[in-house]
Amino acid sequence: MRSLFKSVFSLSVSGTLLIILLFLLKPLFKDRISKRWQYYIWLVVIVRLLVPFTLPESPVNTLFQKADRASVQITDVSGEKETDEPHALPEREDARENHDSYEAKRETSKDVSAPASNNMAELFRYLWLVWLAGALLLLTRKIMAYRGFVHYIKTGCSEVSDLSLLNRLAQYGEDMGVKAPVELYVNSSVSSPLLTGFFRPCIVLPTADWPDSYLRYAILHELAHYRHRDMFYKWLVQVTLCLHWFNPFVHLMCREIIRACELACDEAIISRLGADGRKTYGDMLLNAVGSGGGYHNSAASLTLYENKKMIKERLGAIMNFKKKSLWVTLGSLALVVSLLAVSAAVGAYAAPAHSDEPFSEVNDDSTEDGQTEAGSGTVEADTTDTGSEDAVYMPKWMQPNTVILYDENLEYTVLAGGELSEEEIAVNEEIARWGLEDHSEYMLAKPNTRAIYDNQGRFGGVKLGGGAEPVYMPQWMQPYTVISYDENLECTILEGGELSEEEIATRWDIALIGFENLEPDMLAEPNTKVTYDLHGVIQNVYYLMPGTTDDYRLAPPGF
Amino acid sequence: MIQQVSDAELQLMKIIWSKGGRALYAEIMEELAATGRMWQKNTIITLLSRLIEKGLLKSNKIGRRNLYIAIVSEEDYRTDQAKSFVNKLYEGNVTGLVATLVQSEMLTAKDYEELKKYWEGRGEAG
Repeated sequence: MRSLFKSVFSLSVSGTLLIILLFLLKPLFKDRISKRWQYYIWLVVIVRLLVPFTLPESPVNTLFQKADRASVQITDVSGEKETDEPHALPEREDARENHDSYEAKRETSKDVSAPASNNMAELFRYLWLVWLAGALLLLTRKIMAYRGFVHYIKTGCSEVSDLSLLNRLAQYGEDMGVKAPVELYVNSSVSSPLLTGFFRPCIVLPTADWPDSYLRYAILHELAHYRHRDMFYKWLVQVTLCLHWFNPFVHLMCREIIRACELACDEAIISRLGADGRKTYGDMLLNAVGSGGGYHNSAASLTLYENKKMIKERLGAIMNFKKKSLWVTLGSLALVVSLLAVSAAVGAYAAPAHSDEPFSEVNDDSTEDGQTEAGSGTVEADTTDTGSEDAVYMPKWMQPNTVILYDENLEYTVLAGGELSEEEIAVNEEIARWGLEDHSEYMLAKPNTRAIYDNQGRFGGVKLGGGAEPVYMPQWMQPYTVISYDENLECTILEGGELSEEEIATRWDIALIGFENLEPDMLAEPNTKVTYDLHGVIQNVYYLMPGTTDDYRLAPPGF
Repeated sequence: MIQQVSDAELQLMKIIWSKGGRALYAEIMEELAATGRMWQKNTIITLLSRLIEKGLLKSNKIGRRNLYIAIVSEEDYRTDQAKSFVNKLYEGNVTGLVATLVQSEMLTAKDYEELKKYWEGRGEAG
């Protein structure tokens, strides 16, 4: 669901670009292409706003993928690439404060580091709920308003029984190419002649007391709306508005489409009339304004006029009407096609496969299977593969607590644990969830290093040093101890010291957690210094910079 | 009480009643054409739907054709209309109506004799 919101949001971004583009171009084509094209061209934008199709390299998609990755780096502490901090030790430090969560923290692979980014993630986690609530609320309101309107209109309607008028109505229907029988009512409370009904059309007039010619054009106008299925287009726009309720540009677009609808409808009728007919049509519009009651609902019906301000523009369009030449039609077609191309190029967010959380790992290998996330239906974009075909990547999954050693040729030997069998891979839920392989940059194997795996079998980091004999850092020392390991993993105590037997025996936390820790992430590395905090627990590991004798830094060289 | 029907609708009902209370759309069309007045197809359909909505007609589909069946007979309709007329204008008092008929010479002496015979005939039988 959260991915769905991200998709919708990205579609909104793309759609907005198109909307701005069309509004900018409007002065250029306003008088040149027919009103009908100007009305239907917005369908391209609506499709862009509703359908998440994209090319992988499109700008919007890349933008959203970058946002994904940025937030992963903030929130993820499981041993995937961090910026500078060695990963395992801060967890240990936190755990010391609260021993209950110690085991829990060692289990989970995703923990949050800084509290600030935690709040951000929490905020985003609930944003999609706000969006969904807004969309549903708006949709419900529109439907209720529609039904209320229809009910109110129907109860106040009286049938038109004048046979000659009914016959004329039928005749106009034939002229317009409307086969279905159209009902005709009079209801003095409606503000303008209108058409309701998707499948059983009903025309409602404020009064039947108009001159015949006016009635004719008013009815023709409504029939034209029915013929063009404007009700469906209008509701498509309403649904789009509900999905993108937070986007002011979409609201602008909706207003524009309604205006274009009336203009296109006028045009459809005007084009069959001579100069006299057009004059009468204009007279009819003027006469219609102010002749009805006050009741209207824009979403529930198609009217003769929506608002009085538009009348001026419409009258102008009627007066200046010119039939458009074939060239203009071709030009309009070209415009639509280029808009479609822009629409596809701008793109949208392509959610990675298997993602269940809003800021999930972008590391999932999209080439693994063709499966796409439900709701986004996108082309899978493999944005994380940075290496060449020959690059050697460390495996993402092994047996629990595995240690493998990479030699100079980037071939590995198993020091502890082992590889997973095909069967084990197949039944592993975690692998199914997070993907089997990871070809991110930081997963490139390095010579003379050891790759370690946690007790879930998941990649847990890299340890320097090629020692086949495992040497483990002590888990407990005196407070503020500092020890160092030389290149042969010989340990020297620089400050503080080891705990005495008596001290070990009396400490309940040691008794609870255990004294020795022989897990892979406790492997000692050559040319390091290890500091212990006030509880005597490992605080940091510092790495000697090559070519120096006492420049120790938090990050290993070359990482 | 049956809803008011317009003149055009009444005309359609009369055609259907004259055909024994059942008529195909095509038959109705034929009769209407014979009246010499112009009736558009969709007009007839609209009026028939209104009659169905008001509960005077129902329609069955026979194959692709529509059969319209009168639910209310002509006699019942007349009675209903007469009752509502008398209620409305004569407060339910029929003598008032008869008085009007006589005074406006709509009811002649001959008509009166016939009525009397009819009335007494009913009295004997009932």
